[in-house]
Amino acid sequence: MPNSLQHFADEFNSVISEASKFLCLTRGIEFQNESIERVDELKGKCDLFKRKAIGIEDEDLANAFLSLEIICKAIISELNMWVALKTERPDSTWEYLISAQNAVHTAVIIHEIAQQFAEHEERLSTIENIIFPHQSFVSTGGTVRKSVCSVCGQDYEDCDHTKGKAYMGRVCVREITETDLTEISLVSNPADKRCRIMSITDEGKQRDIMTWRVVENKE
Amino acid sequence: MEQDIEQSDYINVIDKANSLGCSIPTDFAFLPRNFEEAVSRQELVHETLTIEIRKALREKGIKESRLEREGERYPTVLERAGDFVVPTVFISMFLSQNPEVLSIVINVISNYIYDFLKNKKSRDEITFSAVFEISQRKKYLKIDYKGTESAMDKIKPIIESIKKDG
Repeated sequence: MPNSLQHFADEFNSVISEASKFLCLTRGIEFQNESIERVDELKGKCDLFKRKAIGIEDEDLANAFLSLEIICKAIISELNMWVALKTERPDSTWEYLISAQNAVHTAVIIHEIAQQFAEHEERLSTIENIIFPHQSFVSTGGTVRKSVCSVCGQDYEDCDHTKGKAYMGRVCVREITETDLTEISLVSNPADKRCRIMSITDEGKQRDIMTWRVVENKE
Repeated sequence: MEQDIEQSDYINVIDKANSLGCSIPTDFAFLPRNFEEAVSRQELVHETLTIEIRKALREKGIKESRLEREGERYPTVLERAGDFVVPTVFISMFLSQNPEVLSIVINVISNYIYDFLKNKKSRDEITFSAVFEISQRKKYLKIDYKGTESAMDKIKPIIESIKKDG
């Protein structure tokens, strides 16, 4: 495995470095779409190596490949973000940005191999502040009565896995299965930035938050 | 960023646990968010992070004397926002007189907070509260900390003074 690992590391760095050239507004959409395909292929290879690592029960290696796989997802999301922005799909642009932010954040946490991308997280945060208008977020409040662990399937309170950490190539998620929802609130620091106000009423007209264009009232 | 520590009297934890029909914590326990106001045990709700901190303590072999009765489970808050609320920890007089055990408990919580903050996307303020039993079943002191880091460095001297007074 060491030789093939070195070969893969070189390939990973080369593909990501090439794709990074197209992580900006002005590059041609055709090149960005080509990059998406190449990085997607690389993502598949990360998954393959991850499975091999799981097969030999090398948890650290499995988590490292998982981390790289998630970095690929982040790059793909960011490339998609630029394409969506240029094709006037602002809502999709936002979704891709948040996906990229979440992916980089997760990858950096779960394995040190992705530490080099920590600065990329700040870059994505800067992009959010520069290209989008101020967003208002909503969030649900209530209580969780039951939740299960995505890694072992046990009750989350009973198992030894912690959400956000990786275990043998899988990220632990607390899957909420039983809740009592009591409220929906406007918040400035939401748990999920994809939960946002899409349009507002201004001088009797309903306007899209992103484009400021008048939108039809669907009532 | 500004850091702030406040001290105030707290309700009698043991009497309250008794009135709600909870188990009586003998060394330390995480208090539900609404412990002071709740009028029945069925209302009690834990902070989300109580589960994660309990896991961290369990990993170190540290057992909490929970308020929950055997086999009972309180729901947790469904967080609306990315705010960071560390559950209030109750420290019994017995535990505050055992500096080694207390130190391990505080360190595990402190390390958990440190790791959690390190992994946070933004450096939000954290709030951390501890309730100390100053005299057995009589006087309770609450320490509230609000700041960005190293709550334990600020709180440790207060704990030391409590131990001396106790």
